[in-house]
Amino acid sequence: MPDIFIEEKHKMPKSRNIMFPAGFALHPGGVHFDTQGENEEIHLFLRRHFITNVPWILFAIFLLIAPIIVLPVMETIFPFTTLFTSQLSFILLAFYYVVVFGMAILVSFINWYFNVYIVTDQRVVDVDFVNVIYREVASTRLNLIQDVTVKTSGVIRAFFDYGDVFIQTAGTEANFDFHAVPHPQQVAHEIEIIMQKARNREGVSNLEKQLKE
Amino acid sequence: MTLQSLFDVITARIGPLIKIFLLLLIFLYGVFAAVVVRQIQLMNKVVNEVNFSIILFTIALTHFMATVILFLIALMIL
Repeated sequence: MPDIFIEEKHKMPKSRNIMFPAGFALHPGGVHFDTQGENEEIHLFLRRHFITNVPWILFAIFLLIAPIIVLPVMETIFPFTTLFTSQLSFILLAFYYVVVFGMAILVSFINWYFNVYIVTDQRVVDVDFVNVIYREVASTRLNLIQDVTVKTSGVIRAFFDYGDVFIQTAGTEANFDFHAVPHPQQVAHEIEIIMQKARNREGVSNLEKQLKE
Repeated sequence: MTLQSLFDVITARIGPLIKIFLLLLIFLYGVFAAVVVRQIQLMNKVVNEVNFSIILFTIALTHFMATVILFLIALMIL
């Protein structure tokens, strides 16, 4: 007699360590977060779509090549620069490139890299890296989620398949907004699957408790 | 006094001020670079990607060391 009433166990795909920072990773390997529980598994690891970095990348490229264009005509535009010694010019140029790398590239990158959205089998975690001196970490349990809404608008978002996922929570808990995440429909679908599993687990454990009583 | 000699006098007086100002600017930027390194170190504990976290930290540290070296060079040659 075939086993037709036994629930098929959801086979977890084998996790591989993420080699390069990803915007969307399902069951990622090699990723941990600070308050992760011992038996807590990460199902979704999200960041803003990489395309959102294009503006600062283009700006950084412009700043990097600007001296090549400006320096030859510098003496015409700013006559006082003829007074700069070669040492001063070298220091100023080196400082300029260090500042461009630090402020235009590194800070912009870590702003994208450390703003992550994590969905585990127990909760949702939102890590907000606002700037170098301010960060916020918020989390909520899956059983407090009431509604998941997906919003995708605009040509670029439609073309690159990224959008916003809004997670509404119960009571006084804060709502979670996943901004510009890749494959937002899939994200919402995965969250709903995880929520259903969490409810099933809760239902089974409540039943066990009642039977013991 | 000709315009050129007046210009020479002015630059002779403000030259050291420009050097001190530039050194101060590089020093302050070095403090910022140190803050970035520390922040990356702390954030790598909050969210840790085994493969990339160390690379990012190394890049930030290299940036900080470059600032320190630039400061020392500026101190010596200016």
